[in-house]
Amino acid sequence: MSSEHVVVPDAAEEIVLRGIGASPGIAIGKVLLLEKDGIVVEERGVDNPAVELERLQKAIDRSNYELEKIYHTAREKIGDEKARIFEAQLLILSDPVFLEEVKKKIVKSRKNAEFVVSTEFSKQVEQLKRSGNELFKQRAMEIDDSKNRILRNLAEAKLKSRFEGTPIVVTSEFTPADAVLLSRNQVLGYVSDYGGARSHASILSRSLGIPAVVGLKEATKHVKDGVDLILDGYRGIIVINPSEGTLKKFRDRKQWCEQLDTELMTEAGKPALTTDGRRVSVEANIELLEELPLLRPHGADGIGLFRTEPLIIDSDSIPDEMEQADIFRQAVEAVEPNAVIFRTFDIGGDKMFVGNHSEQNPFLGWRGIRMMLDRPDLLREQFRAILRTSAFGKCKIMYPMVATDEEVIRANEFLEEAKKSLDAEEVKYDKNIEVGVMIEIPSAALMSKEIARHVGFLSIGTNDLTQYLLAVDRTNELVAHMFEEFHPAVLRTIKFVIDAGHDAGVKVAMCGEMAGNPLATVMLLGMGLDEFSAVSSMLPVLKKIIRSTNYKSARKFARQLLKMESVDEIKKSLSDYLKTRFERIYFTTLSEGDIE
Amino acid sequence: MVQQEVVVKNRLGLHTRPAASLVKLAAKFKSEFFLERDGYRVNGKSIIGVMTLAAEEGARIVLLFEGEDEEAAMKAMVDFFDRGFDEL
Repeated sequence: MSSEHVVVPDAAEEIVLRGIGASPGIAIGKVLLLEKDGIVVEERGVDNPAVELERLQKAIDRSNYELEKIYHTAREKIGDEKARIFEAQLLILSDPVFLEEVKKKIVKSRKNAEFVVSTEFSKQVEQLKRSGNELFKQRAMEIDDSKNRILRNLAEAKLKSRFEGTPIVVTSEFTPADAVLLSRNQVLGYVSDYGGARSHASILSRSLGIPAVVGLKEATKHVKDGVDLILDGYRGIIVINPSEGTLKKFRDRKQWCEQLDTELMTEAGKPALTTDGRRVSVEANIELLEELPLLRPHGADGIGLFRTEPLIIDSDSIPDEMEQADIFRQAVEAVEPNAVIFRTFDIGGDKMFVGNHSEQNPFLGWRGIRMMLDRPDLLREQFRAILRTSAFGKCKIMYPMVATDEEVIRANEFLEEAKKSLDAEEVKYDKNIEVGVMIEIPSAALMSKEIARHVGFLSIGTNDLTQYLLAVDRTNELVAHMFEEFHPAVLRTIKFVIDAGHDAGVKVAMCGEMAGNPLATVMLLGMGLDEFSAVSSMLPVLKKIIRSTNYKSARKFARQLLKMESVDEIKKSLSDYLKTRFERIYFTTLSEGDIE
Repeated sequence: MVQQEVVVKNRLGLHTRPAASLVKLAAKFKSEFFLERDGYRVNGKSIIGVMTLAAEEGARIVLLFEGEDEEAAMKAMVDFFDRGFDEL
């Protein structure tokens, strides 16, 4: 017997997988594998279809029972409105025509229930996926989820919704149903093969303070129940079967990170004031209402970007004026007396909700303010909702994807119309409500001084600005490595916009990813940025850096950086700066890619 | 058999909620009911079928009815489309 075939279970190999850090924190624990789409469906001939029909009916009944329970829990935990996403699945499970069709096929083909259910449901999913409309594609996921639920019940496998101990849960992709079910247990961390930092489950784990790494592609393939696992939500990595040495390293790192977190959180309430007295504003980007309770503890000076398009995705409908106003009011109340900047619907591009058409070049197409100007009904309704909200607390309005000042002028005209209509109805609102523009298209950046004449503030969106300046689509794997927000062209454009805004007498903010990257903080401060807006978990870090920095030296440092001609030189300088002055922040919060 | 072409009028199209109401309305009639869009036909009494139409605002759909109460069923369904599924 050759020794290489000997399997020694106790000395399993250490495996490191890289994904996306979706929620910060470090967890060290044992795996609980939540298998979902791992059900392998076999095609099998059957002698007695009646047995299959009976099995199927039992599985459907059981699925209905499970969903009713989830629906009930969801209504308690997240409210009636959001729980409605489970209603659709209940309807699917009680579709008499479709299920009759499935049963007929079982009898006719004399095949096992699993095979027929899988084939028939998948056909419907494929049909829906072919539609170009994002909302209908979402429905495909619900049908798929229903299929998996029935298949699991056919296999008479129990849903793991309650378990002993405090595991790290590993699964292919977290659904809202998982998030609801798991919230009843003690979970150390979440790990998944698919999903991004902005998915529902990721945002939910951030607000629950549970570390998470998503997008690992094949984490489920490498783990079993009870296996040791380390999850590093700061750097987006997991270590399976860690060695004693690795465990020690991460235990130390965990302690060090938690200590730093505690320190930063204690100081988060202090103002973002440099050592020589320059005051800037550090605000939060908000996607979901679940994030609102995080704002005060993280020291947010208001909301610098309230994304309104998730309202459409979440509710499977475009909320009307009063529904929007109700939601907006919660945001305003969470940060008063500070302001909330509401960005009008940024739909289009790869997210199409209105109409059903596909574009050859969606990122150069009908999106942002372009679409809203073509749909003044939606824009007017949203303006009225924001204006209504402004009676209860400070609100600002921001237009996305502006390319020319004409778009700003036209949008402002619609805003005036909305104000007049509210006047006619004697509805109260803030008559001096401030309007701003996102600078994310090169033409707008070059014309920012002219655009600034029509508005009260500018806010730089670095992700799109980088994409358009460098002509790199970050989602295209062939060129994604060329996406570089620290490119000198990007940095010089940012500086140009800040100066142009200041020349026109308006404040300049940044709400793109760079604003939340600790590597960039001193540079942006030195360029004269007035407002930083980032995910709330990063705000205490930004404040710490700003409060320990001298504005004058930051200006000098920024001037040096702006003269540099290569990305490597810029990144090395920024990295060295952070490492020397903020060693603990450097090692805790930076992703590994930035460190190398 | 009777049939009539209708247009989806509400801005979100025939999404989950209107699809559910449509199926419930169809169940009140004995007639068979189909919806057809660009040659793709689905059973109007199946929520999954109706959802797979992915009918957005402005989509043109032919409604087909066959059965003893087909006229009444068509009248009710056309009216439901005209009201924009009560989402206008």
